[in-house]
Amino acid sequence: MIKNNVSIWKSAIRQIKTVLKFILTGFKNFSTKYPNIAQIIQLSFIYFFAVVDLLYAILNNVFSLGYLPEFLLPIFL
Amino acid sequence: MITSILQSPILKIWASPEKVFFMSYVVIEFMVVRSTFKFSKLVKYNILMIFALLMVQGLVISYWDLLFHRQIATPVAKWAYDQGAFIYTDKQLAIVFFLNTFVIFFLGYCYLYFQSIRGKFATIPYMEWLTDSVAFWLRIKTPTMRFGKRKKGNDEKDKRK
Repeated sequence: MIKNNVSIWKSAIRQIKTVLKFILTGFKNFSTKYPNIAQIIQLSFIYFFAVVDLLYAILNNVFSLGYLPEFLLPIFL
Repeated sequence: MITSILQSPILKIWASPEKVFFMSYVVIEFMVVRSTFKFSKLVKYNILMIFALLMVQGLVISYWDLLFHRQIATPVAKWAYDQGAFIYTDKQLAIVFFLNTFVIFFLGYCYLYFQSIRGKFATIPYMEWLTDSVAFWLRIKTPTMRFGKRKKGNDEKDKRK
């Protein structure tokens, strides 16, 4: 029973590894073929997170004043 | 778009400072130091630049809290009657401050983004102290850096040779 469980676990890990390898090789191939586009995608992600962080940092403090900015009214009401 | 950003539980991770601190450590270790993902120097430069700007942004907001979001302790008698301390803030001023901070940093990020998309290492006017510091850690030399600036005595010695 225990042996059976271990073998199931091992095969599951093997499958996950193959899927991950497939994704990683896909990424590698894409970035070697189109380095500029890959770079732009990476930069877009980085700056997206920077803007999200800015939004949270500002809005947390604005909400703590007990004030809701008017441009957010349609979202929350 | 804004709704999904504001209400997304995953993105809320970025709101708490201790998680941000840990994540920034992980990001710097794997993306910049070890180069696991093999990012180009431009991407690494932008990652470090954003971290530095996020710190400046946090500093601006925390100094606002420290200087203007004053907690005024009421007399002990009031406190005893459970009226407690109250926080006094000029709401209008606070809103103007936060709006300006948001706009300035947002425009800054947009400028850096468009510069980096064009493949340029962005520099901010009058902020060479920041961009040069970021460039230093990636071993990039910039014209404003004082790399190898010699003392007068050394120059004279060289001339004698």
